[in-house]
Parts: sequence; structure tokens; C-alpha cells
Amino acid sequence: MSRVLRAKLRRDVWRQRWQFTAVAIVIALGVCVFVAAFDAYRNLSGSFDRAYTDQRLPDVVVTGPGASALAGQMSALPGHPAVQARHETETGLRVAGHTLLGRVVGIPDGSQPEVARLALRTGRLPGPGQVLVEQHLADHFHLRPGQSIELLGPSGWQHVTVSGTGLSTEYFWPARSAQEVMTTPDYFGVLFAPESGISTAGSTPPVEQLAVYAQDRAAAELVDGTRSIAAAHGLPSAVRADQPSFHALDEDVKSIGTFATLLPCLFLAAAVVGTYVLLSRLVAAQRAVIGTLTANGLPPSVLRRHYLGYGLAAGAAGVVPGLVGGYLFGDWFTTQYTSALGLPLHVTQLHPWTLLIGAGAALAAAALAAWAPARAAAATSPAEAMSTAPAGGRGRRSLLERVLPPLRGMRTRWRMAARSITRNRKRSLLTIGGVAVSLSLVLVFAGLRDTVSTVVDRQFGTIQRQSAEVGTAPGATPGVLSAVSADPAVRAAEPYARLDAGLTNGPHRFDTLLIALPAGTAMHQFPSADGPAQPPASGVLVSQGLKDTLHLGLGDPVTITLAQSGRSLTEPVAGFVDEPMNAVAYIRLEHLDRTLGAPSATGVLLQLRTGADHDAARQRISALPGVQSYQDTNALASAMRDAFSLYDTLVGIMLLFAAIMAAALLFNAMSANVAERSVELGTLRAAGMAPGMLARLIAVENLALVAIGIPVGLSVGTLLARGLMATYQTQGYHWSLQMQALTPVYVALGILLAALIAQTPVLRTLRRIDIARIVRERSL
Amino acid sequence: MWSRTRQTSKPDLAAVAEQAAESGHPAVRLESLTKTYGSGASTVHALKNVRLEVWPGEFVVLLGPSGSGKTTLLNVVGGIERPTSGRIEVAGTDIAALSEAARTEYRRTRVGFVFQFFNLVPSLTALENVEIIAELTGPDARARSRAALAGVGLAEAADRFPGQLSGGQQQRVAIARAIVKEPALLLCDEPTGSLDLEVGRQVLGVLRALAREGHHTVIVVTHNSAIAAMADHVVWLRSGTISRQEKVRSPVEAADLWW
Repeated sequence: MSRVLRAKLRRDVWRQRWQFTAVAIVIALGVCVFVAAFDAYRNLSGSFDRAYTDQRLPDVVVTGPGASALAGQMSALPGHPAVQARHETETGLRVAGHTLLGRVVGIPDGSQPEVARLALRTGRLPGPGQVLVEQHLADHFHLRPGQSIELLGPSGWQHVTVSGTGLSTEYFWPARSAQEVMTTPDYFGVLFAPESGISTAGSTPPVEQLAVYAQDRAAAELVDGTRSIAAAHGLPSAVRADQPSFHALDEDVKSIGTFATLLPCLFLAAAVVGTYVLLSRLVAAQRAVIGTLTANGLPPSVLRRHYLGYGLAAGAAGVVPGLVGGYLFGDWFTTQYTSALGLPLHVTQLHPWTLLIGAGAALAAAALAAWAPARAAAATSPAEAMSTAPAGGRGRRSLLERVLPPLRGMRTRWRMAARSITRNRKRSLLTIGGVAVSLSLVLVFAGLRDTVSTVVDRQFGTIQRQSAEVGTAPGATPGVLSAVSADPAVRAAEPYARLDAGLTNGPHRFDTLLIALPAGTAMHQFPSADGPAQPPASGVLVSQGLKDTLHLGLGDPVTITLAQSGRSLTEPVAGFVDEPMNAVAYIRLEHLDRTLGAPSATGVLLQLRTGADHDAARQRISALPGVQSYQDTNALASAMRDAFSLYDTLVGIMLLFAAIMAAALLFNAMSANVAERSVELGTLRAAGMAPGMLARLIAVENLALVAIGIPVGLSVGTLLARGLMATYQTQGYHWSLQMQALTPVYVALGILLAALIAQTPVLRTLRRIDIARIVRERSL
Repeated sequence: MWSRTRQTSKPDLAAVAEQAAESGHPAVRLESLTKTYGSGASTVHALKNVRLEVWPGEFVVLLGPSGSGKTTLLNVVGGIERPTSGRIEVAGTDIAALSEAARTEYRRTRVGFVFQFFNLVPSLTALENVEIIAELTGPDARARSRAALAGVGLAEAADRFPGQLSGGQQQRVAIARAIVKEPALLLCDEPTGSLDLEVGRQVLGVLRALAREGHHTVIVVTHNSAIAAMADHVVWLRSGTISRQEKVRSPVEAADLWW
């Protein structure tokens, strides 16, 4: 490109600096989101990988009597395995007046375990009579080394001393089980105690486990070998994918990876639209100049390169801020995420390939957008040099007028506004597309947030009616039930059983919970269109999620194996229940008692009276003999909402980004619109049309494009959100999009507001229009 | 302040012109009119101390080479540009002193513009191009627009879009658009500049008739000196000043012009 053409390029950019800046901003947003999301994805993956390696997250855990005896065989497997035998038990735990369910995990006396090592935060490893408290629990109750807590042992409550606090990779996400992924520190906490004292730590016999870790990371072979050996001894084994914390976090990080691909595509598509509009307008405005240059023998290839250079300049202008912003945003997101989990370390590396791909994608998008206008410039006939006619397009009545003839009676200026929408159809369509993309982007995140909120409200407001769940020590339920029922704050109380169980249908198996509720329960609403409203007299109710997982039909027999006792029972499927957060099976408590031949209740569900002091009731009931845990339903619902609070931040950020993108696109489309029609607008001003009237006409034209883009965006956004929700089907959970009725309205209003703001500078330009210059020079 | 009352009925321009002539008030009076662009060394004096009187119903032709200040003079009289100094009296009111809103009102009610390149809205039909301005100035916009189109001989082409009209027809639509609001002052910037001889004569004939029969005061800017022969009053501009002006006793008909 010649020096003069380079100077022209620079000056063209300067003349259209605001439009150019708008395009650069959209490109920068695309790059920023790509780099941020991809870096966050890689940083989080890296952080977890490092932690899992440093702390040796088990590749397999074999559970059951005799598991530790298999250590020798496991050690001989490929992968240079480290093995660690341990026991764990669940029991009551009292901390600062709260009674909760405690899980005590055994570790070697005074030393780190070979597998599932602990990252100490405070204090030291526990000795006899001491426990190390898992960090989430410690943080919640502000526990420090030297403080005392109580454990419910075989002979009653016993004091133990906190030796320190720390993190385990198995409890980065403090889930109790795959079925109880969401817990609160008020309900469930983990302690680590010396193996020598584990048998007296809980009220029930501890479970034996063998944790295996491949030191040379040949995990696949080790996993296969371990599972074969375990199966040969009739012992269940769980791989990392079954491990609740690993699974939950892995799913979350993968969803970030999905966004890392999807979001930048949307932003860069918008950048293509913005660049195309800007450049095609430039080429149209300069066609006489281009014709003159070609008439003077300038090769088309030079012209093509010249206008491609304009597009690439916009891309380059957006790349640098996008890369910097993306790196910072990704770092911020990683830090927020890992801080929320309390991860012992977080990796925030500069990933050169991410930067290169981001920069390359931005430049490619800019070049793609510039290609068509550049080709049009190269193909401009030299005869255009003689052209004096303004760009306008051919006239025709608008579709609305043709469909609705009465509209032809509208004032002429409004007819002009209606027809202007289709004057440059390609640009109108691209603008509508840009609005739709912006809106759908916000709607996806708002939809996800709504779904979480709706699901939590439904599960803990409509389906689960209890104010709290009280876990009891074995055999203590009747006494606790009587005492709870007598509490002045309690309106109703019922016994219930919550049992870890494996459900089997032929070759299909799923580990879940069996919940037993009494006939006529007031504590649970079974949401089912075709099933009973109460637990059936016989048979089980199964959640919709399990219906698919276990390939069950109505009346099919399903075998239920209770984890604690090893007892099995086979029951027909009496119905399916549509519960968004519970992939469980329900059975009538009386029926279960009869079938097992013994009382099976494990706790009490209670409803508090309206206006009752929840905290006082919790304290009274927690102090009752035989009470092992007290789970407040509101606290659990709050914990759920908190866990997804990052979505709120993301919705806010995306709303901001999408609003900027929509505003930038509209600004460019409007600028091009006004610039192309400067002569006719100037003529109307010369004829006495007030600037306010002209501004209203242009505003209506642009808002009409937004109005068309809004339903498109709402539809696309809803479909996208549905698609994303469909991918979130795991561990028997079955979520569908639950968007609140007003959310699309708010999102649409947000985009409309952005559009209104985007109009301000263009309408101001319109008010300051230099009529004399326009009619003299015929251009803005 | 210029009256902001909208016209609600067709004014009797003949009576107004006659009344103005009898009262001794010109339609336009320019006093010491100066217009400069830029500042310092790059100052351009587009108009320098121009004095001019145009009488109601006159057909005035402004002649001069490029850069002589013809279009600037037209724009200043039309209220598109403000002069740097001096007075522009139109029907006794100083246009130069008006606010932006009042100048818009002035253009809406008192002035009609005809440009060289027609400047029609391509998405509106001929009738609608006229109607959009008619709507600004009173009721019965459609009927007045049809009448204006008929007045320039384009009744049959009312529903055609500009792209379906010839250059001469487009210019006549532009004239209809200018006269539909019955302006006292019709300002035409090179109205035949884009037209061939025959069509140019037709357009000038329409403008001449508007001055003679409609009693509009018509000012035509052109560099085509042949058009001066049909004017009542010819003004020559050179370097922003009036170098010469003369009244024509027996103007020729547009059809007799030749260039």
C-alpha cells in the first residue's frame, strides 16, 4: 500500500473515529470474554489439577469390610500406586451450640495419609483426643486450634480438641454424598481424627475404606485393576467421577469451558456486523473517489488491500485492550472462584496460546467483515467517478403498508420512517441480528440464574414443606419425636427415614437416597401429574431423573439395597415425581418398617409455627438427647442460592457487555443511516422541519429495528438457555429452563435502554447538522 | 420574533405583494451583509458589505462565477446560514437576529428551496415528497400537494417514486415541494444545473409563472448567464460583492432561452 493510501487510511479512521472506536470496543469485548473465559477455564483446571496432584486425590476408593486387606494387591497394580487404608464414620457433632452431622475420617496417627493428604491451614495434625477440622466448617464456626467441640460417641457426647484446620481435596466442595451435594456447615461437617481413635469417635461402627492413587498418573490402568479386585471381593468402588466434590467441581469448570467457546463466538459475530456496517458505508460514501482511482489505473488488488486494512486496523485496535482486559478479568474470576471454595492454591498463568488465538480470532473476524466491502471497492467501476446521484435505493411501499392499507393514511413522515427500515435491508438485518445476539446473551445468563432461583424456591417452598430435619441417633427417633412435638414452637412433627441406598433395575444401578415418609405426611408435596399425592401403600415413587437413568417404567420392579445394613428389597415403581433437586426414591415409612421387620426412622421432620423464633427452636431441639443433627431448610436454601451467586455477577457483567455491544452496533448503524441520508435530511431541515421532529423520526426508525430484534433475541436466547440447561443433566438431576415471566421484559428493557443511549450522540449530530454544508457539499 | 403561527389557509400572495409594493417595503432587503468563514490568515470573505433590495413578485437571477458568493447569499437569505454582520430584512423582520427555532419556523412558513440535485426522498412517491412538507404547514396536505404537483404538470406522476422519474420531473417535484406551502420567497440554487436545455426551459417556465401568476418572489442562483434574459432583476456577484445589477424592462419567455 502506498504512503498516500496509508495516510488516507489513517485519516479515514480519524474522520470516523467514534464509529471505529465502537467497532474496536465490540472486538475488544469478544477478545476479552474469550481470553477471560478460556484463561479462567485453564486456570481453574490447572488449580484443581495441581491440588489433586499435590494432595493425591484418590483415583479409586474401595469401601466395605475387608477393603484394607486388599492394600497389598492394589500396591502391585500398574501406576506405582499409593494406597491408604482408613475408616470413616458419621455421628453427631456439637459446635458452639449447634448440633450437626459430622463425618469423621481416619488418618494415620500424627502423620499425613499416603492418599488424600491434607493441606493444613492452621495448627497441626491431630493426636489422640484431637481432631483436625475441615476448613469450611472451621470458617463457619470460627474454630481455632485449642478449642473444644463435642462428638457423639458410643457412650454419649465427648469433648475433643481442635488440633488445627485444613483442606481435603475430597471436600473442596463439602458434599455429603452424590445425592447430597448441597449441604450447609450448619448441617454437615468433616473432621479428621487419628485412626487409633476412630472406633470411639462415632455412635455407629466405622466404615472401612481403601484409597488408591496412581503416583505416575497411569490412572486408567490402576482404576481398571482396582475395580476388578474390589469386584472380585464383592466390594463397591468409586472412581473420581463418582466422588461428589470432584464431580461437582468438574461439571462447573466444564460449563465455564462451554461458555469460553460460546460467548466469544457471539461477541465476534457482533464485531463482524459492526465492522461490516462501518466499512460498507465508507466504501459507499467513497465510491466516486474509488471510481476516480480506478479510472486512473489503480489496481483493484491495491484497493482491496486498502479497505481490508481498515477492517484489520479496527481488529488490531480492539485486540490489545481485549487481551489485557481478558487476562485481568480471567484472573479476577479465578481468584473469586477459588476464594469462594477456599482452595489452598490457585494457578493464574499467562497462556500465550490463548492470547494468540484471541488475537488471531479478532483479526480474522475483522478481515471477514471487511472482505465484502473491500471486494465491492475493488469491483467499483471507473464510471462511478462521474456519479453524482446520492445513495438512496429504490423506493417502495413498506411491507406494513402493503399488508395493512389503512397505514397508508399515516402522516407522510411516519411512512418515510417505516420505509427507511427496508432501504438498506442488509444493514437493517445485521443490526437486528446484533440486537438479537446482545439480548440472547443476557437472557441466557438471566435464564440460568432464574432457573436456580425457581428450582430452589420450588424444592424448598413447594415440595419440601418442613422447617427443619432433625437427625437422630439409632433408636432415638421415638423419644426425639415426642420431645419435638411438645416444643411450643413446633406446629407438626413426623418421623422419617433417610437411608443411603443403591437402586438397581437389571444392568442399571444408581446410588441414591431412599426417603421414607409416613402415610398422610404433611411434610412433602409430591409434584406429579400422574402419580399419587402421598407415599403409596406399597411400592416406591421414583424421581423423573432416575426414570431415565435406570430405564424404569411404571410397575417395573426395582431392587433397593440399603448401604448401612446391606438389606435388599424389591418394590414396584408406583409413580414418578418431578423434583428438580432430588434424584431419590420415596417409600411409605410404615411399609418400610414392615418389610424390614424393624423401625427404620432416622430422624424427625418438623414444621415451626408462624412467627416462631427459628434460632431459639434450633437451639432447644439440638440440645435434646438423641439429636445428631439439625438442618434448617431456609439455611439450606440460602446456601444453594449463595453457591450460585456467581451467576448474579456474571449476569451483571454480561448485561453490561451486551448493552455496550448493542449500543455500539446501533450507534454504527444509525451513524451510517444518518450519514447516507444527510442530503435528504438536510433538505427537510432546510424546508423547515424542526430538528426535534427529525430526531424523533430517526429514533423511531432505529427503535423499530430494536423492536424487531427483541423478539428474535428473546427466542434465540430462550433456545440457547434451554440447550445449555439440557446439558446440565447429571447424577439423575433433571433441570429444565425456568425463566421468570418478567425476566425477558427486564432484559428487553435493558437492551432498549442501551439503544436509547446509543441514539444520543447521533441525534445530537442531527441537531447540529450544517444544512448549508450539506446542500453545498452533498455529504456529512 | 418571527410569528410561529402556522398557516391555516392559502395566503393571497398577490394582495400581499401589491400591498408591500404600495407600502414601499421590499420583499427582501440586505444591508451591509457580510459573511466570512474561518479565522485569521485562513479567513474567507464569502460576502462583503452586500446591499440589495428585492421586490415582491420579482424574478431575480443571481449570476457570477464559482466562489463569487451566490449560494452563500441564497443560504443567508433562506435562513440556512447566519451572516457575520449586517441585516436581512424579510417583510420587515431581521432574519439575522432570529433564534434557531424562529429561523426554522421562518423557513417552514416563508421560504421554499429548490436545489440543483433535487434532493428528493427516494423512499417516498412524488406526492409524498410534496406531502411531507405540506404536512408541516397546515391542513389538507394531500389536496394541496396534488394541486402543487398539478401546478408543475406532474399530476399523472404523483404515485411514482423518484427512481421512476426523469431528471426534469424530479426537479419539478422539488419545485412542487417548495411551493406547496405557498412561500413568499422561492430560492433556487442552480435549478437547471442537472438538466438539459429542453427540460431546463420547462423548469424555468414553471418558476417564471410562479413569480408572475403566483406572486412568489423568486431568486435563482445560476452561472448560466442566458437565464438572465428572463429575469425582472439581474444581480452580478464577484468575489462576494455585487459588481452590477439591472432591472430588465422586457424579459423573454423561458421557451425562448438558448444556451
